[in-house]
Amino acid sequence: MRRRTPRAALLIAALALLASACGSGGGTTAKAAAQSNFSSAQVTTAPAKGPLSNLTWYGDYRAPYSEDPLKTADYPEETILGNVCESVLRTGADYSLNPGIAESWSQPDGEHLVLDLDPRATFSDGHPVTPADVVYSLARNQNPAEASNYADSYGDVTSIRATGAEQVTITFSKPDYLFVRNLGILAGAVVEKAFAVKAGPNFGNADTGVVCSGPYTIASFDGTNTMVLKRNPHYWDPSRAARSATLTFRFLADPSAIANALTSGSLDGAFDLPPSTVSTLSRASDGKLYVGAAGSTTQNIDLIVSRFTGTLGDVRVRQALSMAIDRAGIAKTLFYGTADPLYAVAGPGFWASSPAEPIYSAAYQKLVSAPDVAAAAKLVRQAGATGRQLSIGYAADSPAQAQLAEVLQQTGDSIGLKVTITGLPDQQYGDLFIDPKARSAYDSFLTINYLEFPETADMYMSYATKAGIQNFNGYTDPTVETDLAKAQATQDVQQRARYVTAAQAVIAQDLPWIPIVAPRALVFQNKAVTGAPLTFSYMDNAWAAAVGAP
Amino acid sequence: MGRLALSRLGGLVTTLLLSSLVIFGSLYLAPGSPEDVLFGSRTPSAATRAAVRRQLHLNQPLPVRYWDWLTGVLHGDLGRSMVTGQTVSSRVGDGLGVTLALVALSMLLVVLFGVGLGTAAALRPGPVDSAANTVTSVTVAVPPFVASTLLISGFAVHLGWFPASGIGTGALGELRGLVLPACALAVINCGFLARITRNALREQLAREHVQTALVRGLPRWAVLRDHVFRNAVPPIVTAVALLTSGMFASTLVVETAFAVPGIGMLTISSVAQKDFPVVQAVSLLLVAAFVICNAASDLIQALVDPRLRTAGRTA
Repeated sequence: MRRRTPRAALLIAALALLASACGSGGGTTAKAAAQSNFSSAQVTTAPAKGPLSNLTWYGDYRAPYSEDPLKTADYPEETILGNVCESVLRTGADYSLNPGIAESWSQPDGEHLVLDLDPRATFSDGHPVTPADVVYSLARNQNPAEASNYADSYGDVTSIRATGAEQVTITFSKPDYLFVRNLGILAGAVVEKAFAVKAGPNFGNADTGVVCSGPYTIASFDGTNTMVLKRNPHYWDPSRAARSATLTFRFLADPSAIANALTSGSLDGAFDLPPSTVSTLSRASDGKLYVGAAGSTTQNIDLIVSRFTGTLGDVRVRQALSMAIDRAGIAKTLFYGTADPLYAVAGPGFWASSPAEPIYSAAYQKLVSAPDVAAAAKLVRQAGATGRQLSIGYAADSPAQAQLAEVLQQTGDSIGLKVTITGLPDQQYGDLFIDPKARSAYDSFLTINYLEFPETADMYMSYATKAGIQNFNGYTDPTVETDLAKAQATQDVQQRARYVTAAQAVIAQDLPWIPIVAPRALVFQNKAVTGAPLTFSYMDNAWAAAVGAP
Repeated sequence: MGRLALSRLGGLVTTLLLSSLVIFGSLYLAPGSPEDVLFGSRTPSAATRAAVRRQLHLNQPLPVRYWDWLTGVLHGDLGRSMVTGQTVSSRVGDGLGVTLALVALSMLLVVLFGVGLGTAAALRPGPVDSAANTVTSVTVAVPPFVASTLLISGFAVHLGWFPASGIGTGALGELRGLVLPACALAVINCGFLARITRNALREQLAREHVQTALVRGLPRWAVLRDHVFRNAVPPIVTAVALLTSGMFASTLVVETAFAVPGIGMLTISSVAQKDFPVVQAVSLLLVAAFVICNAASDLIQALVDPRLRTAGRTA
C-alpha cells in the first residue's frame, strides 16, 4: 500500500500560477468544470499502428531515486520502472491479471499459489529467467536489509520455493486470495539474481543499474532532468515488444512548465497531471486531454486521524467534521472539477470495474450525504467539544493540500472547533508516516493515498486493521478484523464484496480516516502518438511498449 | 595589479572555505536526514537504517564527515550523490554548462540594452529620457517568474518562435532555447542597469571639468569618451558584477519555468533531499560566482582607474 504523495511542487509553481492568472487578464481562467470525455469502458487510447523513433513522456514531479523496482514506491518510479522490470504477472489496462513472466498461475487451495513460468522469458543480457531468479526477486521483499517498499504485502507469505524446472510455489500462513494481485505490480518485479548479488548495495544506483526482462532497458540517466530508455532488441515476447526505439522521461515540477511542454510538443504525453493544468491542456491543439470519469483512479484524498487521544478521540467529533465537509465544493473549486466527492476511502475507483460492482455500489450509496453544518455543530456540542483545539498537518509544498487544509479549517471552525493548520516541509511531512513521535504533534494530517490495483479489502486492511502498515492511530474493531480476514480468505468476488462492505459500514461510522475527494484520471497524449492506458494501470506496468504511431 | 589579483584569489579561497563550513553545518542541523528520503514511506528496521547510514557515512560525527569531504575535494573528488549514487561532478557537470550559457547570454542582453537605454536617457533629456524612464519603471517591477510566464505565452505559445519548454539539441538549438529564459532574466536587470547608467552619466555630465571642456569647444564625442564615460565606468561595472552574481540565483526560478536542464532543478531537489555532497557543490558554485564576479569588477575598475590599483596592498 503505497500511499502518499508529498508532491514536492515548488513555491515557484504557486507563484507562477498566480502570475498566469494575472497575466491572462481574468475571465479566461474560468474554471469550467472538466467533464469526462471518454467512456469508462475505454481503457486505452486508440491502439498504435506503427513504430516510433522516440517517445518523450512526463516522468512526474522529480527524478527517480533508484532504479531498483522495490526501493521507492512513488509516481516517478512506478510510472517508469514497470517498463524496465517486468513482474511475474501483467496487469492489463482494465486491471485484469494476465500472463507475464509466469504463463499461468493457480491456487489449488487458499494457502498455496503456484506459478508456471514462461520458458521463453529472458533477461535483457540474454540469460533465461529461472525459478531461482523469481524466488530471489520475490524473497527480497521479505529481506529487512532490502527494506522493500512492498514488504507489508508479504506479511502472510511463509515460503517462496522453486517446485519444478519452470515452477515456483508461494505458501501463505493463512488462506489468502488477495496476495496474487501484488504479483501484477512492482511487488512482483523480477530482477536477475546474479547481477543483483554482484552489485550488492549499489544495485539500482544510477551508475550500476539493474538487469531485468522488460521491453525497455535504461540507456542513460542524468539523475535530475531526464532518463532515457531504449528498446530491448531481444525482448522475449515479440507480441509485446516496444514500438518506440527510445523512450525519454523528463521530470518537471512546475504545473505551467508541464502544460507548456505538452502544448508545445516537447512532451508527447503525461499521466497524473496537476489539476491546474486542465484549463490550458483542454484547449491544446496538438493533442488531447483525457479526463476520466468518476472512479477512474484509486487515488483518494483523506484526513488521517493520527491519535485517538485529542479532540478527534471522540467519534462524534470525527463524524461531525466528516458531516460538515463540503466535498462537492472542494472537488469543483480546488480540483477544477477533476475530482469527485468521496464518502468511503475505497470509493468507486476500487470497485467500478469489479464484477461485484452492484454490491459495492449499493453499500456506497448508503454513505453518500450532503454536508449538514447545523447537525454537525449540534453533534460537536453533544460531544462537549465546542471550542476545543484541533490541529491538521499538511505538505506545505503542495498548493492543493494547503488550500484543502484551509477549507477544512473553515469547516472545523464553522462547527465550533478551533482548528489550527500547519504546513510542513517535505521531509517533516514524510516523517508523519514513519515516525510516531512526529505525528503525535498533530491530531490529524492530510494524505493523497492510492493503491496500484483496485482491491477494496487491501485498502481497508492497510489502515483499519491491527497489522495494517498505515494504521497510524491504532484503530481496531473486532467486526472489521473478522470481516476483512474473511474477505482475504474468500475466492468468490461477490462473497468477498459482502464481507468488505460489512467492514466498510463500521469503518465509515468510526472514521479512523475521513475520506474527502477522489481525483479523476488526467492523461494527455499528443496527436503523433497513441496507445497509452487511460486507467491507473500505468503504475508498475510496461505500458509504454504499446505506445506507437497512430 | 598582480598583488590585487593574488589578494582576491586568497579572498576567494577563504570565502569558499568558510561558506562550505556554514552550508555543511546548517544542512546537518536542519531536521531530516538523507536516508529518510531514500526510505520514503517505508519504516526500515533499525539494522537496515544503520547499514544505510554506514554506507553513506552518516554515522560519523559532523567534523569527521566535513574533513572527509574537504580532503576529498582537495584531491579533486567531489564525492558521490547520496540519492542516485552518481559522482557529484557528473551530476553537476551535466547542467552547469547550460546554466553558464544562460547567464552569459542574459548578461549580454542586460549590458547591451541596459547601458544603451541608460546612455540614451542621459544624453537626450526630454521625451527620450521620459520614455526610457517609463520603460525602466515598468521593467524593474517585472521579476523573472512573471516575465517567464508572459514571454512563454507571447513568444512560445502564441507566436511559436521559441520552444516553450526545454532546449533544443546542437549549439544553435540550445541557443534558440535559451533566448526566452535569458530575456526573462534580463528584463528586471536591464531596468536596473539603465537607471544606474543614466545616473552615473548624468553625474559626470554635470561635473565642472566636463562643462568647462564643452564650453571651451572641445569635440563632444571626445569629452564624452575621455571624461564622461571613463569616469562613469566604476559604478556601472560594480552593478554589472552584482547583477551577474544575483542572476545565478535567479536561474533557479527561470530554469524551472522553462524546464531548462541547468543546475536549477538539481539545486532545488538536492536541498530537499539533503544530498550533502551535491548541495555543497552547487551552493559553493553560487558562492564562487559571487566572489569571482566581485573580484572581476574590482580588477576591471583597477584597469580603468589607476588610482584604485594600490588598493590591493591594503585589501
